[in-house]
Amino acid sequence: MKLLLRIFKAELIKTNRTYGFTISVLIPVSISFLQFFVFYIKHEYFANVGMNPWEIMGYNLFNILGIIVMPMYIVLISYLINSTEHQSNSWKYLFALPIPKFKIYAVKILITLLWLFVFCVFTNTLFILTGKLLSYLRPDIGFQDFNINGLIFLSVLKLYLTGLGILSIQFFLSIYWKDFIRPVGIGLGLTIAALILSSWDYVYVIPYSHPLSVLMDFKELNTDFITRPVLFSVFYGLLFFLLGYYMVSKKEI
Amino acid sequence: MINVQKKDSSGQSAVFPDRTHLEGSISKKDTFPETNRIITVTDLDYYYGDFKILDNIKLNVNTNSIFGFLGPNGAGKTTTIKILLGLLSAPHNKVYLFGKELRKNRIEILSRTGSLVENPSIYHHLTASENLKILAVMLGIKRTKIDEVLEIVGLSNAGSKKAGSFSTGMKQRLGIAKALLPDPELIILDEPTTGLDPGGIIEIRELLLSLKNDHGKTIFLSSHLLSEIEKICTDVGIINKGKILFQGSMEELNKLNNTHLQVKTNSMEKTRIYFDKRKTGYITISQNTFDLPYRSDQATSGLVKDLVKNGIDIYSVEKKENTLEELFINIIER
Repeated sequence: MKLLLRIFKAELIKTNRTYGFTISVLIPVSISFLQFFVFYIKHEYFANVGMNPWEIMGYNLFNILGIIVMPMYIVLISYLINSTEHQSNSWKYLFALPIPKFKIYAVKILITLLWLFVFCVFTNTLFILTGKLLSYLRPDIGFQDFNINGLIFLSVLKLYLTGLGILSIQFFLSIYWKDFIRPVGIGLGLTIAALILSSWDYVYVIPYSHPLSVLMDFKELNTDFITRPVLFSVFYGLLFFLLGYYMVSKKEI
Repeated sequence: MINVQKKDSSGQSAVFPDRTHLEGSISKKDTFPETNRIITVTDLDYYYGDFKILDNIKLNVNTNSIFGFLGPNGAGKTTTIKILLGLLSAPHNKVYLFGKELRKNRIEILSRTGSLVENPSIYHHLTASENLKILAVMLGIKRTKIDEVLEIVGLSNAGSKKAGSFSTGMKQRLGIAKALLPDPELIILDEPTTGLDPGGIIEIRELLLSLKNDHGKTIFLSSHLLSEIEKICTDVGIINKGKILFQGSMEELNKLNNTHLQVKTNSMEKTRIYFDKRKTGYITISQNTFDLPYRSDQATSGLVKDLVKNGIDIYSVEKKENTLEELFINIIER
């Protein structure tokens, strides 16, 4: 455990001045800023008087995240954490250290999970803050008349879990390939494929469709926590985590 | 004894004595019972697909030696080093470090080994100190050690500079600093002087000598330059096309190396008479330049004094060595 903490700390120093943490904050900030701006200026385009504006803004948020932003964000952070080693030619050095390969691999995954967590915390917090701010600045929209904090929290939590499958797969691809094009290209291709097949009954077998299921649940005010996409995502997450480790343990550098 | 891989009368390798009587104990204990040996490789083959990269490699590296692993590019040096570090998986019971079988004791062996393989592994977005700090944090090494190793490799003024802005030589030094930071007993360096200017090469050479002499380290370094190896190494292994052609001490290699002297004097006649009188085998290269066998530095110094005493002025004395290719041919021919 002590060793794991030391590797974790070292990994944090390593990710210093890389973009992983920055984009984990910047994306939620940008989305919230745009939502604030659009609702402040033109809320009537989205919500009629009397409608719950939190639901409208939430739908808008999970739509943007589920369709493209969330999968592509995960594709990027999985690439970034591994490209630090690829670009500095460091895998061979890391694996020649007196540290079990599993711990090196697990800590890298943990850092990526931490970034995803930061992303979700910022998404949740900034969403609430945006609504609160609008309730003061534009009370006519009616944010102050409703409260769906619980549903938002549940949805963001599900968003985190539905990202695990994509994360493990992209992590696997980004360790296996040095370059940017292949893992990112496959990630983008599968995200688009999931989108095209979104109305297919068995779309949940494609992990890249899982974040979009949060939108569907939110739209239907479905408060079930353990949904099929969540289960499949956790399953894919574990499966590719183990496959990734197997690949790393056999990796000859 | 010249440790070229020749069979003696009993059919055993002259370099690597029969170890069959030890095999039982190896498989039981997974140790190699020779305490003076820091690296022992026995009959190691390594394939990349169907292509045999290493062919029956045997290596013995003694504690507190500087072992030069010499061979042309593509000979199998880096592959051997990667196997020694567990980066490529070797068959069981073929590679022993610190007397222990590598595959079963990888972590323990690596905790006593520092390495630099191919290009140094450096995070360009971080400073030199931060690069070392990562390692210090990971391995639980005191931070004060960072400044110490930066000082040793001559980067103490560049510790706060981003490694991305470093020259090739500085990167190489930082790579060596990373190998030194855990204070390992064995340091494995793959072509450590690559990209260094002559001054840098001399500094690294002095550093390696001091690590051996003052700190009792064992150094295993690879190079494709004979001149580089002979200046610091106590022992040498020569590899070509995946096979070990020679292994032995530097003196034993020098005997094979056919080093010779070229002496230029003011008088062809006087010099010829001098050499003839003393029955020194020589070849006349040009009008007053002679080529003769090299014995030792002391003998050379004695010759120069003697020539001067005999009224012969010396314009130049040059020690000439075989190229690596010529040395290979010499070794193969034997």
